[in-house]
Amino acid sequence: MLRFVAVLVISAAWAHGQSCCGGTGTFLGGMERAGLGTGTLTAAAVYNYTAMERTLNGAARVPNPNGSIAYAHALNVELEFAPVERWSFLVVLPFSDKVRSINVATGNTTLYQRYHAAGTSDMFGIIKYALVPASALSPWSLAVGGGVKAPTGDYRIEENGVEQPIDVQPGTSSWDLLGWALGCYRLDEPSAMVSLSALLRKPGPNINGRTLGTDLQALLALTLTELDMPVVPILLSRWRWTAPDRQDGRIIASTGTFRIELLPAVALTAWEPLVVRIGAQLPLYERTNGIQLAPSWGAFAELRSTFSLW
Amino acid sequence: MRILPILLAAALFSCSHDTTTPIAPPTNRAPVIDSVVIGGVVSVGVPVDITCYAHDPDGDSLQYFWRVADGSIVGNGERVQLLAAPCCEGNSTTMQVTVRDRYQASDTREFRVYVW
Repeated sequence: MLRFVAVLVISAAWAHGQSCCGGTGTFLGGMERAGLGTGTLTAAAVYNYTAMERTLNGAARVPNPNGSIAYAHALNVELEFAPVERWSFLVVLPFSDKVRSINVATGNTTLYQRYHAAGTSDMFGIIKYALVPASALSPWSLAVGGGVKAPTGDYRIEENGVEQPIDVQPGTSSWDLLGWALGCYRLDEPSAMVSLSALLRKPGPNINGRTLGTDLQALLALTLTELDMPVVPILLSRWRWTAPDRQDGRIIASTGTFRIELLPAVALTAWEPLVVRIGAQLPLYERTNGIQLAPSWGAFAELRSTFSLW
Repeated sequence: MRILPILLAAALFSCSHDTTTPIAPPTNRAPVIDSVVIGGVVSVGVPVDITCYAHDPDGDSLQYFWRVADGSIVGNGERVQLLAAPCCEGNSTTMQVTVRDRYQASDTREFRVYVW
């Protein structure tokens, strides 16, 4: 029996939210699955953990000048609904809990500080349209979409009279435009599905007048669809380009990156329509512009279910 | 069972605290920032002291609130340390300090710090 269940679904949530001191941008689970059938509703919770324990200068690993390391928990609560044929609407409410510490030796003392902020992050939504809907007649399917991210998250969290740095704040304070596309090809021998999704994020200026770099993510997914098992392996690779940030027309140093990651995952389908997915986030290659903190590893988990409303 | 509501009320009372700002007398005057002093050349990886000198005409105690566009602030109070982010090298970053008295009357100073 063909199992399309886990094919187009992938992954996880959001990594670190800003540039400068952390990775840029969003990793949107709901944007990496095709639209739904008419009258169906998908609810999902996607958790993502990212550890940033290494610093790169270009492709070379270097000591962090401020002794910085960072960790991020992100939880995306997603709802997607398809009211009419070919169209579906995705709304995502993210939460984040981020921490970054610095550790600098100054003379014979060590300066240590921990920055932490948690709360509701920036909501976003996207409208999807299936140009070529999935069908038994054609191995191809194609969907496109667009949307916005609104600055609903808090970006002014303070602790002990000091506003926490912008890279740990849950919100980015900017309106961003989102463009999305997803193409799938169904293989018959071996029975598998290959999908490529792309997400383009064009941020607006933030509260400090800085415009984060335009971000393009591509996710290639391979899923074996004819395994008669409750565990479906999925192999993913994410490619991500982030342009440098700009302020007053000027390029900001140490921003912008290119990253390739491997995301091996499994989907547990024994309790359908409830699907559970877990996976790891492993960096394969990264090249940064200047000195930047970079993800060292991560993990994600997704709980998702689809209901037919009529 | 009668003691339960009492315990609940006691717990609620003990958890609550007054977060309202005292009403300022008409004669209250806002604090004044006299100067902000950067204690050295700011460069990435080297913390530099930033001191805010302020006074309150009424002699009220002062609270300091710091903000930086890019970088990290270490410590709190009238003197903090700025640790510039790598992205600011060769550029400036904007800092802001706000001083408040107990009536929330305030003075704010915004300034740019060049990062070498």
